[in-house]
Amino acid sequence: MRLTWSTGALVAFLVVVAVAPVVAPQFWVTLGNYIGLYSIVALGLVLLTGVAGQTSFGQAAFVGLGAYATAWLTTQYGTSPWLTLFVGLAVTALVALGLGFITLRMRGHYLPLATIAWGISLSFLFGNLEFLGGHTGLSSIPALSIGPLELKNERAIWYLIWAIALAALWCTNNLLDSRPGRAIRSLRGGLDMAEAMGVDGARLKIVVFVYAALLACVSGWLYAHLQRFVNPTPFSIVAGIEYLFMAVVGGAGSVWGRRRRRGADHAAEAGAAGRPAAAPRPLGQLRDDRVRRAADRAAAARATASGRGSSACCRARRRRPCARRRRWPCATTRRPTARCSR
Amino acid sequence: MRHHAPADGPLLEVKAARKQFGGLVAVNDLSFDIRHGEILGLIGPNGAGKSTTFALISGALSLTSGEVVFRGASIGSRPPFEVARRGIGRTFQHVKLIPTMSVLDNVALGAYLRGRTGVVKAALRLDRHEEARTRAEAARQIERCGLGAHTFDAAGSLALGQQRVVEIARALACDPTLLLLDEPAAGLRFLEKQELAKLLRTLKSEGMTILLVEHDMDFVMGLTDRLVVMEFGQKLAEGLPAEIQTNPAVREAYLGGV
Repeated sequence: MRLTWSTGALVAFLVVVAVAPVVAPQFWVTLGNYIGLYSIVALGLVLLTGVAGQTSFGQAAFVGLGAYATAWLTTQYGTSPWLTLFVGLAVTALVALGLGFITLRMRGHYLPLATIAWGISLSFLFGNLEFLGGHTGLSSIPALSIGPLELKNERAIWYLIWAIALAALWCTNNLLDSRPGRAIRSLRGGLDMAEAMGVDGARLKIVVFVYAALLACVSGWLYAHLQRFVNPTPFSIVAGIEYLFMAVVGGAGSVWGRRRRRGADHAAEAGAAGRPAAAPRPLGQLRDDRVRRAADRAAAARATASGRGSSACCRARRRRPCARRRRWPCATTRRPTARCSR
Repeated sequence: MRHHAPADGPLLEVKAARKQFGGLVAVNDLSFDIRHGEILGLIGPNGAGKSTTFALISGALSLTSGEVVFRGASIGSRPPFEVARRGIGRTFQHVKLIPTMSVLDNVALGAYLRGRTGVVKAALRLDRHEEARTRAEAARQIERCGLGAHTFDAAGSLALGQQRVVEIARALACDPTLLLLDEPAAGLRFLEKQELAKLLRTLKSEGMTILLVEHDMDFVMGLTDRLVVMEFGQKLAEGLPAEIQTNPAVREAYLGGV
C-alpha cells in the first residue's frame, strides 16, 4: 500500500486509540469513551441525514431502547449482557420499522417534526414506566465481561467501545461504496431519480433508518454497561438534537466528520467547565455576529439612501458615551442631528 | 443480458391514455405505439402534454384511464422502479446526477438492477466480485457514449452537454430495451447537439429503441424515424418527419392560422 497522508493519519489515529487508555489521565479516558459512544450514534445519522437526506431528531430514543433493554433484563432477570444486546437490537429494529413505516413518507418540515414527536414520546415513556424505574432509573447494572476478563473500569471498556466504533465506521464506509450505497446517495432530494434507476425508494429509506437505529442501540447498550446506571435524561429530545448537531457540524456528508465534531464538542464542554481544553468558538455565535453586522450595515445603507440624518448610522454613533448633551454630526451626511438622547 | 430479440407487434403501446388533474385534461385519450428499433419523436407546442405523456410511460404519474402496454405487459400506473425493472431506461430534462460522485459511480448507479448485493453484504465488504463487474459495465457504457476521458471526474464538473450524455450512459447501464429521453437537446450548443444526435444514431444502429420528447425541430427532424405531434393533450398527427413538415394542421399549430 502506498503511504499517503490519509493512511498515515489513520495509522496515527489507531496508535492513539491503542495507547491512550494505558498512558492518558483518567479525564481523557472518560472523554474518549464518550466520544466513541457518540460517534457510533452520529455515524448512523451521517448515513440517514447527511447522505440520504432524512433528518432525525429522535436518535437518542433508540440509544435509550438499547440501554433500557439491557438494564432491565440484566438487573431483573440476570440475563447475560451479550444476550441482551441482541434483544435490544431486535426491539429497536421492530420499533424503527414501525416508526419508519409511518413517518418516513413525510417530506419537508414534517419529517423532522415527526421525529421530534416520537423522540419525546419514547423518552417520556422511559420515565413513566414503573418497571423501568421511572425517572429514578435503574442502577447496579452488571459490568460486561469477556471470559474471565471483567470490563469494570473505563480503561478496560475503552477497547470494546472503540472496537465497535471502528467496526461501525468500517461498515458504513463499505456500505457507501457499494450498490446499496449508491442508491442511498441517490435518495437525497426526492425519489424521482432513484426510482427511475429501479430503486424502491420508500423501502430503502426504511432500511437506512433501521441501520441508523441499530447503531444507536449498540451505543446505548455500551453506555448502560459503562455507566452501570440508566435514567431517562440522556435519551431525551435534547440529546437527540445534540446527536444531530454532532453529525451536521462535523460534516454530515462525510463519515470521518462526526468524530472530528464529537471531539471538538467535548473539548468545548470541558473548556466551559474550566478544564484544560481548547474551546472553539461555537458556530451559532459566529453566525449571530455575522447576522448582526449585516443588519447594522443594512440599516446604515437605508439611512444613506433616505438622506435623513437621524437614522441608524447616527444612532450608531450615539452609542459612544457622551458626558454632555451635544449634537453629533451624522457620519454619512455630515449634517447635525437631533440632540443626543443620553 | 436481457433478451432483446424483437417479438411480434410494437414494443410499447399507448392505448387511449388519459390524465386529468382535477378538471384539466392534460392527456386526452392518446394512442400511439413504438416499434422495435426505431427512434420515435414526441413533439408539440408548449403545454401540449408531451411531458405528462412521458411521465405516464415512465410511471412518474399514474393514468386516469387507458393503458400502457410494454412487451405485452401492462405497465400503466405501476411505480417507476417497476417500470425500470421491465427494461425502460430514462433521462431527465433537468439533469439529475449526484454531482459529487464520479461519472463512474453515477453510471454504476444505473446498473442497480443488475446487482443483488444487499446492505449487510455490502457493509461486510462481501460484494467485491459483483462490484468489480458493475464498475466494468459502467466503464463500458461510458466508453460507448464517448466519455471515457471523464470516467473519474466528478459528475458536477462536466459541461451540461456531457452531463446529459452521462445520464444516457446511466440509463444504458441497466440494459434497457427502450430508452426514454426527456428533452435531451434542451440548453445544448449546436456542436453538442450534433454530438448527441450522432450518439443516438449509433445506439439505434446497435438495436436500441428510443422515445424522444423534444422541442428542437432541427434536432428532431434529422434524427427520428417517425413523429407523433401533440396539441392540447391530443394527437394532432403521426408520420414520417417529411410528412409532418408539410402537414397543414401541424403548421397551423406551430405557426398559427394564416
